Amino acid sequence: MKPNRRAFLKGSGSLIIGLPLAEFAFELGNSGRLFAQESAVKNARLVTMYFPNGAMPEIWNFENALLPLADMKSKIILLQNVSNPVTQPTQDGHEQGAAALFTGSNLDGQAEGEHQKGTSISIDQYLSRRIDMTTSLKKPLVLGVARGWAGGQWRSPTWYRRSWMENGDPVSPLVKPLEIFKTIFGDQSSVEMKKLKLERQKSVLDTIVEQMKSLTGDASKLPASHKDLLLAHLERIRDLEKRVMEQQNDAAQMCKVPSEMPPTINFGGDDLLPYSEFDRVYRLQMDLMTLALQCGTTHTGSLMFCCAGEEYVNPMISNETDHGTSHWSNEESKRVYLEYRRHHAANLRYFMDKLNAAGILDQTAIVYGSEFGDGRSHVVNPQPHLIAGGGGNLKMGQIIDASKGKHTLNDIYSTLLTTLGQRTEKFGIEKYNISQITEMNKV
Amino acid sequence: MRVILAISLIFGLQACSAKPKRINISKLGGVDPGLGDPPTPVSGDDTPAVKCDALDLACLALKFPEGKKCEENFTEAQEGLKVLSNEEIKNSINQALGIDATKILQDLPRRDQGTKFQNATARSAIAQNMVDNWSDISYDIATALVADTAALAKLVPCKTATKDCSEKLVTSLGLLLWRSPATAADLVTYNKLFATGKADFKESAMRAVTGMLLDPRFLYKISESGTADDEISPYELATRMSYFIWRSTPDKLLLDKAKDGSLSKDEVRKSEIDRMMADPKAEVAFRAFMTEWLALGNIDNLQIKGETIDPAAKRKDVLDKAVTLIFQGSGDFRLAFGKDDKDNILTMPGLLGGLNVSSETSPVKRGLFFSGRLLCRQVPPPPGNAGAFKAETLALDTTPRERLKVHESNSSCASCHASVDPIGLGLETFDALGRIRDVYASKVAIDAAGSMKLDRINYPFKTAQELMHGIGNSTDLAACVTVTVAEYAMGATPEDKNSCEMSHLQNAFAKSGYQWRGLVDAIVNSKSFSKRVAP
Repeated sequence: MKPNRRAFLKGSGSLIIGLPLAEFAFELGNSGRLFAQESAVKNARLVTMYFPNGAMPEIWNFENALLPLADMKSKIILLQNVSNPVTQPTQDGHEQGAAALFTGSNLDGQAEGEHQKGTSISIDQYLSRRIDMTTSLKKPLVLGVARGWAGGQWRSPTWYRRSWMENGDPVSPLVKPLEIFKTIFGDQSSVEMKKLKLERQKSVLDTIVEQMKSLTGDASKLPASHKDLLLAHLERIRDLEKRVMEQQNDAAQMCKVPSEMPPTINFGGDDLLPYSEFDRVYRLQMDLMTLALQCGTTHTGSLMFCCAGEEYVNPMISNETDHGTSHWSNEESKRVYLEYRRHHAANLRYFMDKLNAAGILDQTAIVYGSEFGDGRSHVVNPQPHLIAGGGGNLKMGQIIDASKGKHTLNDIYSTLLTTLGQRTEKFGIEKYNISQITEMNKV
Repeated sequence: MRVILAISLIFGLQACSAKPKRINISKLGGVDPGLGDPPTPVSGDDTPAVKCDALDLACLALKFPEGKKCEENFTEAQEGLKVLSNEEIKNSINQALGIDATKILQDLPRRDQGTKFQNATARSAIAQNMVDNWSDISYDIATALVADTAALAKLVPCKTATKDCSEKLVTSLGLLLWRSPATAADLVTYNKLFATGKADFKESAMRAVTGMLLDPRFLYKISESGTADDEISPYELATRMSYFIWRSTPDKLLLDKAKDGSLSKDEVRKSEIDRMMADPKAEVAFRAFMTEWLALGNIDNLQIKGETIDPAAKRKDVLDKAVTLIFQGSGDFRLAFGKDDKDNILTMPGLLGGLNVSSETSPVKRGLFFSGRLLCRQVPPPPGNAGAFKAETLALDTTPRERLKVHESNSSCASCHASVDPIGLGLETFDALGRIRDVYASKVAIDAAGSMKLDRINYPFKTAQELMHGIGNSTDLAACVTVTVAEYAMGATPEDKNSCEMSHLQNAFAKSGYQWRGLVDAIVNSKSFSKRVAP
């Protein structure tokens, strides 16, 4: 299986609604390493994918919100009427509904503003702890587009995070394509240059560790609060040093670096990604995610199209915003809202096509969902969910009415983990695990 | 004198345009307890002149006007550890190394400070992805430096990898990057690193420079602990001054004044501020400050049907005018905010255009912006179920004023929106790009009339012009600028315990006739800027 560039480039062009195609695509590396890893972690890759502002149950089907996926039904488990018992009707669903989405748990609620956090781990991080030990990244590749600005003021970071650590800390996504590229491949230089760079970095980091020890040691004159932060910084330097040393040992079998770098993106005057670049950058991120998964940099990832409540607007669709039309009040705004749903589904379609071209779609489970069942009045239930791709014992190509088994979103994740070979009975808040969705499981 | 002049100007205008009579502006300004509040008992010299709402930060600067005594409750604003913002990193590197590293630095990960200023005090150590990234970027910068023979020779005139050259490099560059002299121990440590480059000078220098950039003394503004009221070290003072005025590392001249101790003399500090303000770096920093304060980045997302808009040019228009009227101007900075009804940066497309939702004006965003950014009135975030209003209230054939009525019917909305919405609705006669209009597209006439609290009295207005006139002449606006610039300079949001300090700044600012330079001087000479906080 050698992926071919044309298939990779072709994508799903005809289905995308008037969008600039990602201009960044390159030969997929085939280092031989991929196959070695393939057998070790057979059939387990997982990416969470968030789209904003929900979808009503009556449009959560292949005729409406998911039209761009209509000919991919055989690669999808469409989950209808999934209940989210985690989020309370009194809460603003944008933040809490989206936080529950991949965690099956609540926000902390104690801390406020910038200190707001979750209470439990998300599915990407959870699985990563179990299957990414042998990868170079050793954690999920967390990507997304966002501006972080909503309604004229800064919300707490939890509005713009879809991946969560065990302790509920939200993980900030990488946004910039070049930064992501470097995370996956280091830089573009030859293996010899890389080895030299690693040796140089190692000697520099040794020095810095010594410097920081003397700055924070017993003789230090720094105030205690400064010292604590520097000690935390020292831990991060050590973490980096450890990885540099591992890479030195590993340098002989590095993932082949693509011959092309991602294009430079024009960030705005405040270093924030303008909405006009969201789609291009999101697709670049999906390209890079595909490469990372194919190359074995990691087996897990998270993709986020911004913006619970953020005012993303795409003039190719309308001058009304995605969030604005989620509060639709007439046929025209409802139509625009539906167009935005299709736009997001087209992004999923794009990602599926990329994975397919790379030959890994059938071994990658993409969990796709959003916070609301009806954005007009922030009604969370039932939440829109689906699983695309495949892997493990997942039985693709079916539509499941989750209301029949009274299934919750927690059930999706416990079932997913089971089908991907994990011994997991429950996920998220325990009492909301009703029963595993046996229809999803081939066995 | 100033007041009389302003009044005659207004009356003159009125005679021509026959507009409704304005409120007597002599009621504004000063710290009159105002009509809107119950009378505050004033029993002695040390009683606050005004009673402040907890969410009104501008008010902190008005508690102790000239003549009132207050307890110097020492501000802790400077206490926290500061990390250089991405922009400070860029400016510092370019200045200290004498190369243009802008391109290498454009991929620094964005860091959210959660406040309007990126230089806010660090609450946690920088994230792992920034640490990783900075290691790579330091490497790239050092590589670029040694490739630039002229720039390298300027820092250290050497061609061979001797110990002497190593020490020269660490001494000269350490001072510029760490903003304090390299110690004897540094020379030993870095000499070891230098030596790993074998006999090759460029290789050795490259390693040492990478290390010096990764040294925490570059990214963090580290200060030593001491007892309260200690003067901070002259090097720390130089650092604070240069990041305040230039957003960049201190230059050799300023560091020399720190070295010989003369920076503690008032006249030396004054001449250094003169020199620094005349340097082009100060104007660049002022523009960046204004961009953050007035959230001018918002304009990047402006999209209006049928209009081609160049966001960068619109932003530049606002900044150019702000430079002319505030930074270079020698009068009251409020002239840029409609004080004399002539010039006004507030209704420029580069500013108002960032406060829309889609193609439409957003009275709520505008109201939040004016009360939050210009008057420092904090508005708590909306309750959990905000936005959950019924669809029929959003019928498109109603006016914004009619639609926002929904806020009045719900007390949890009204408590904040009552002070926010009237401001935004008062500005409705400016369209999404700041152009004047009388009617909506539906031909319905726009009613801008409303009222707001200004200088603690109720200020009614009939038109947007009257609204801006009130804000532009208010002491609240000046006090908010005092508090905002102090927040920026100190890296922390002032609190109630800082009101004595804030009032001193405000009094000095007022004394200067609200000249920008007056505020810069007041801050640099303030206690919290130059003294240490007890551990």
